[in-house]
This record gives sequence, structure tokens and C-alpha cells, in this order.
Amino acid sequence: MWWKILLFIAMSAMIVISFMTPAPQKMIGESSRIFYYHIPQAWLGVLAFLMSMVYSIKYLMNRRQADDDSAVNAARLGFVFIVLATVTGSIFAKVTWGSFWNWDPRETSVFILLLIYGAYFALRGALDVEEKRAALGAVYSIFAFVTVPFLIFVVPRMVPSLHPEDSIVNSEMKFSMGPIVRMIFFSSLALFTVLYFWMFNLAQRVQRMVRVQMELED
Amino acid sequence: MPNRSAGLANKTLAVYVKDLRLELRTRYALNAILMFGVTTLAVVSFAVGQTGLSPKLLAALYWVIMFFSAMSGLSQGFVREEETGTALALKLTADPTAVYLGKLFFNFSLLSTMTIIITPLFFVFTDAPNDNLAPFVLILILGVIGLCGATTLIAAIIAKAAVKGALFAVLSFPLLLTLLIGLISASQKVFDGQTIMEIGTDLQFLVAYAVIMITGSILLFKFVWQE
Amino acid sequence: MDGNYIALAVTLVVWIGLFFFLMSLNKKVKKLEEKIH
Repeated sequence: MWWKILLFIAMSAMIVISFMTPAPQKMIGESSRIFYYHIPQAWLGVLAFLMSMVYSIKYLMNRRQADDDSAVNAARLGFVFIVLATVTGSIFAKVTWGSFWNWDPRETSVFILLLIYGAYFALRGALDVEEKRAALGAVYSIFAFVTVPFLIFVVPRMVPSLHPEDSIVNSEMKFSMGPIVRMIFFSSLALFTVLYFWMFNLAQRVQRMVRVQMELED
Repeated sequence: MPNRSAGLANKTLAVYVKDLRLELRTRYALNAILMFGVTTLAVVSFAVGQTGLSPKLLAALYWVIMFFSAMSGLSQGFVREEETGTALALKLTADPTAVYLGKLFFNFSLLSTMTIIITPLFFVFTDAPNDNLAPFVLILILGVIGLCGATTLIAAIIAKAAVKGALFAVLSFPLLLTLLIGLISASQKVFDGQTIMEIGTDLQFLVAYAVIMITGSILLFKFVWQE
Repeated sequence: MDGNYIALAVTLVVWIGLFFFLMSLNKKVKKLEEKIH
């Protein structure tokens, strides 16, 4: 219980500080504050996808229903976070570069990640036998994840970027983070991760209750 | 060990020959894939006109045509097995890896045949620069292997689903987009006149993609096939 | 600076809303879990 109150206070404080301190990137100005939210969301989208793949492997090895449920829950949450990351990134692109979508390498990768999630849910929707849905969904999830390293390491080098070298998208890892910016950024990352695991835990328990309910009705 | 691998090769060949015979008798997949390719090519070249296309546009158009043709025919192999009920017999007689490799080689033959017919037509229709063919052929071979390597497992997956046609493209596209970006980038450079040495990085990427997809498919295929 | 205050207010409202939604969900699930055990 205590950690929820702590999370609440810390997250609220982080939100207030993130808007009260000077903007993290002077050249871009006030809108650069979105990085305190956008990057943690993108990170959670990828982390959830990774978790979904790990649970998929576990499912194929043990054939336990619970692992499949976990894989789906992780994928659902990851989908929400990746949509949030796409939307916030797109709004930021509009403010900074004048258009919502530029096919920047990172935009391309996030788009493909969205499509993979979409395809995963479409596949599960098209299969009506539960074991079949679980096994084939797991296979697709693992197979799709294999391409993610290409998205992260290779595609950014192959797609010509529209933005000059000094733009923040191409060098966001390098952008000069002062001690305050660094502190806010990493606490935001940590808090969002805690929030994600809480949501994941809740989703798991809700799923379990639904299963129990279904068994009682049978 | 050599005995077992010889057995695998024989079984793979058996699956491949069976599919090839069936295909030669009906020409169902080849007709579909060829007609689709020719139609897409005609539409595209009709829409954009003949001359003055930039290398980038040419490369993109070429791989769009290839992608859609592949989508129209490559799912046939497994769908046919499921629909005619021969999947069960195959499951009992051949081991999964042999089935996968047989289907992979069959898809590779199918797409290669289509490529051999479509590519000259593409050069005729769009007036693409054809003085730098050796690297382009290399890209084509790697591209066809990559396309088949990624889609054969997907074809096996969707054969078990209720709605097959649309699902095949939906599931394949996110995986192929990565490959298509690499293929378009490499083809564009070739149309610009670059040599094999100059596109080395792109070729490495294409080889890595094909190897990873085929290895992943071999490892995962038995889980699909058992369902 | 005005825009910052608006953005801050909106973000805080979204976060507080999400937090209390999760808390209520937590409570409901806990009740169900106790009923079953």
C-alpha cells in the first residue's frame, strides 16, 4: 500500500517539477518538455513487447494458460504506451518541424512496432480455438520480435533522415542533459516503469478473475 | 548424423517435388502471382508514365510490385494443405523441418519464376537504367530469399485461421517493411550506378535478414505445424 | 509561461484520474479475490 502513495506523490512532484524548471532543450524551447513523457512511453512500449515475447516463449515451452494471458496483457499495455508515444511524438513533430509525420527513422520504427501489435491482435481475433490462438499468437510474437533489432540498429542508418544532424531526434541520446534535466528524466523513466508494472499486475489479476468467473459458469 | 541430414534432404525434396507436381498440374499459384504482378506493373507504369522517374521512385515501385505479387501467391502452399485435408497425412509422414524447407524452396521457385518474368517487363515499361544489372540481380536473389523466408512461416500460421487472405498481408507487412526498406535503399543505389562494393552494407543487411528469418522460422515452425 | 500552467494542470488531472481509477480497480479485484478464497 505504502508504495502506491509514494508513487502518487513522486509522480505528482515529477510532473510539477518538469513544468516548473527551465525547458530541457533551449533551442527547441518549451515544447521539449515532452521528452520527460515521450521517451518513457516509448521505452515501456518496447519493454512490454519484450515481456510479451518472453511470456510467449514460456507458453510454447510449458503450455500454461497463465503465460499466454500474461503475454496478451503485456502486449495490450505495450500497445497503449506505444500509441501514446506515437501521438506525443507526432504532436511534438508538428510543433517543431511543421508536420505531424516525417518518416524519420524513429517514426518508421515506431510505426512498424504499432503494425506488429495490430497484426498480433488481428491474428488472435481470427482464431477461435483457445489453444490454437495462444500457440500461433506466441509464434507470431516471437517471430516479429526477431525483426526489432533491425528496426533499432539498421533502419535508422538506411532511411535518409529529413532532419539535420543537430536535431534532437537524431541525437537525443547525446543531447546535453544538465544535472537537473537528467534527474527529472531518469525519475520519470523509473516512475513510469513502476506505473507500468502496477498496471500489468492489475491486468493480470483482472484476467485471472475473468477466468475463475468463466469456470464457475461452466 | 550424416545419415539423418541425408534423410532430411530427401524428405525436403519429396515435399518440394510433391508441391511442384501439383502446381505444374493446376498452375493455380503461379497464375495468381503472375497475373497480379503484371496487373500491378501495368497500373503503376500507366499511372506514373514512362520516363523521367527518379531512382528512388523506381526502386520503390519495383518493390511495391514485388510485395503485392508475393502477397497474392505465397500463402497458397499451406492453405491448400489445410483445405484439402492433406496436412494431416503430411504431418504423419514428414518431420516439420522437412515440410518447412520443402515449402520454402517451393515458394522460392514460385517467386523466382515470377521475378524472372516481371523484371524484364519492369525495365521495358518504366525505362529504368539497365546498364548496372549484376548488383541488381544479386539484390533480387537476396530479396526473393528474404521475402520467402519471412512469409513461409506466416503462411503456415494463417492456414489455421478463419480469414486467410487478408490476414496474410496484415501479418507479413510489418515483418517485410524492414526488408523492403533495405531492398529499396539498395536498388536505389544500383539505379544510381553504384557497384557491388559500394552497396556492401545493404547486402550485409539483406543477408542477415534472410538468415535470421529462416533460422527463426525453422525453430518456430514445429509449434505451428503441431496445432 | 501561461501555456506551461495549463499543460501542467492537464497532466496532473490525467495522472490523478488514472491513479484513482487504478486504485478503485485494485479495490474491486481485491474484493473478488477475497470472495473466491
